[in-house]
Amino acid sequence: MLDSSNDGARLAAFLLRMRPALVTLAEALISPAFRSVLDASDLVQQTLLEAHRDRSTWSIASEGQIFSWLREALRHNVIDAARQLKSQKGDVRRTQRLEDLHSTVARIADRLAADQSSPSQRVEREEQVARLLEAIQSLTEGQRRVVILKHLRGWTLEEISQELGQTETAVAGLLHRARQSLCHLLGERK
Amino acid sequence: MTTFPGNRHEDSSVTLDEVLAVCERSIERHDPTVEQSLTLRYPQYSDEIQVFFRCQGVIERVAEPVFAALSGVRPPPSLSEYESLVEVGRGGMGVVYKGRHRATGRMDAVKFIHPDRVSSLSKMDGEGLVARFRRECLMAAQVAHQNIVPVYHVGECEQGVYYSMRFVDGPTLHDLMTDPSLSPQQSARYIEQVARAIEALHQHGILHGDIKPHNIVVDSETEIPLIGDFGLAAMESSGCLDTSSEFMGTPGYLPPEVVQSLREDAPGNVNAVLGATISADVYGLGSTLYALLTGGPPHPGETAQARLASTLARDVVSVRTHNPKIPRLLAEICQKALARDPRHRFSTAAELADALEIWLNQPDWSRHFPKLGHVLFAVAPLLLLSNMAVYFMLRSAYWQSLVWMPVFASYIPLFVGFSLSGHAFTPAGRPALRALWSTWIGHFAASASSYISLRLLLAPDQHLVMAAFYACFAAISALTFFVNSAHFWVSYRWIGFGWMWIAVGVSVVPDGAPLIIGIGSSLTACVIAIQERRAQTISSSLRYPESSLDCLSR
Repeated sequence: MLDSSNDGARLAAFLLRMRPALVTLAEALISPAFRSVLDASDLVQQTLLEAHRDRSTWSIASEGQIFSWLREALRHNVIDAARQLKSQKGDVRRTQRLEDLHSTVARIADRLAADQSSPSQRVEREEQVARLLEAIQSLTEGQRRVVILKHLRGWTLEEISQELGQTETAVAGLLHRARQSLCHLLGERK
Repeated sequence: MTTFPGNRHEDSSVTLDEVLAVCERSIERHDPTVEQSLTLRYPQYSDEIQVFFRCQGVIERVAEPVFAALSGVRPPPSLSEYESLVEVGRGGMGVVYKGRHRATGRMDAVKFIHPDRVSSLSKMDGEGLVARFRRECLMAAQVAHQNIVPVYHVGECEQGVYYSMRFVDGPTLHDLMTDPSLSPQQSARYIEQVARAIEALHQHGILHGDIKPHNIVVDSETEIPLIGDFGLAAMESSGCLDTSSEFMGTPGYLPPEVVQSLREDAPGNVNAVLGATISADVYGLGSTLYALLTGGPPHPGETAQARLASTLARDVVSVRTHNPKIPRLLAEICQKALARDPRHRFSTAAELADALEIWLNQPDWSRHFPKLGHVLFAVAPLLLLSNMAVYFMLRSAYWQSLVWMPVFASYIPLFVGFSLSGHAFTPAGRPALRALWSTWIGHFAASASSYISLRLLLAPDQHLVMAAFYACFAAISALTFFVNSAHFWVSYRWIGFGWMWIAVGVSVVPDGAPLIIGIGSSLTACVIAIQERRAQTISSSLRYPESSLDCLSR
């Protein structure tokens, strides 16, 4: 175990680095109906990045696997946020979302652990997933929405076009160009 | 489905985005063959189409765990007859929870249809999916077999349709297939049992259609494999699944004829499209065995497309290419189950099970006679010495008549060695032990009777008696090793050939006969000893589950 101030700084730096990926996850979690009420980046910013406040309870020795690490970080913060929100007649929905975010990250970690045969493959996969989530944030607003609905929520072309009020052809074009930039971004960082 | 414009002229007016929409919908239908046909139809966009499929594949693969994780963010359904349910797994079609049944206190598995799957479909398709799920429940409930997870109850609640079944606590074969301690014997044993269960399904007119390591759970307590997922099972008689239903089966484990029929999109041939035939199930069993032996599907690949393409393009690489220590006969069984042409496969699941059972029960000297190698090394010089004694005794008039003593004395260390080295705990061990003893007692009896007859016929010329006897001895040995080659080690037949030539040799050089026989005998003992030692190293490197085998046989 490292000394706690060092740990806290590392946690903060890590969460800062993971912020775009977390925003993507939060955006994917918030169903379109709540978009006006809940702001994903606000959710992540306000509650998650205050992680280092709780750094005294924090003890992760190695950064090894991104999602296992992130899950652990979020577990602390979910508890922290729930405590905080309870005291300020809080936004139940927000706590709920935060818990969802935690369980999503936990599931990603489990899923990657279950699918991969070797630890090195797993680390590689985790990095790819994290990079994809991060890259989604660099897309345009429209592209980001279609990619999230298509690939993270599993909607069909028809459903997306109804939701966005655009033709299927337009959505297909948007999606294609979004994927091209994502592939480009993923390839660039390799 | 979108219909393609009928001729070139209309095709050229299609915009890129329209073509992309067609690509997108084909991906949603999981149609793996569309890339090629679209490229042919819209040659002007072939580059873009290629980029589309490449990017789509990459993004989908990377995003898959996130999608799976997000679709799981949902509280488990609550059922009045169960204490709180806990999710234990999810497949293409449903989510599986475990929970304690309130009335009986028993731990059950409860499988719900994937709620996202129903809500993402049109009303008609959604109903179709629910109907298919119900059918799956009914099928699973129809067959009582010790290798099929028993279904208790089918029901419906606010959160959807579900069925409850026995909760099997243990890993799936998919979890086990990368375990280095899984021996070929244990793999064969699992598949043999699963094949018997599949045969029982076939007897009830049910085809499974998606046999793969993920669908088979091994009970941790009893080590019994159970088929736990009927995700695809299609009722042979009803043929009721509509062709519009999504692509089913698992790329990499699918037989080539199914992939081919998907490519041709054969209309009306429902069972072929679904991959549900008896020989496809046999292939499924073969590919599961393959995965257990090698740790991967018969047609590996990064993407589903690559796996399907490989299935069509090439034969399965033998399991011995991955691991040369896998016994040849088992590799052949696996290869036969995976034959490209369905007619060359085992015609039923029972036939495959029988082949595996025969392989599992075949005698194996290295297992039944673990110390035989050492014994034979010790016996080899004794054989040489006793025959040299014969050579010198024949030269002295006094000792000539006692020459039979060293000849037959050499059987004593052999028999003592057999009793010391053999043990027969397994079902296969007893016949192996019997075969060994009866062969060599037969060898002794035949040699003794030929010596007595020759001595009565040719006395008093001891030289002639021994020359004739040694020719007989060599011929009897040749026979013995030919017989043994059928039971134990195929290469014994070459030793048999060797003894045939020794029989001729001793007749050509009658004076040197005892020496030729002595050298031949001790060489034979050494060759077998070396082979045994080699087999021992191989079987110990495969980590024989000797103790578990012993338990099973008792």
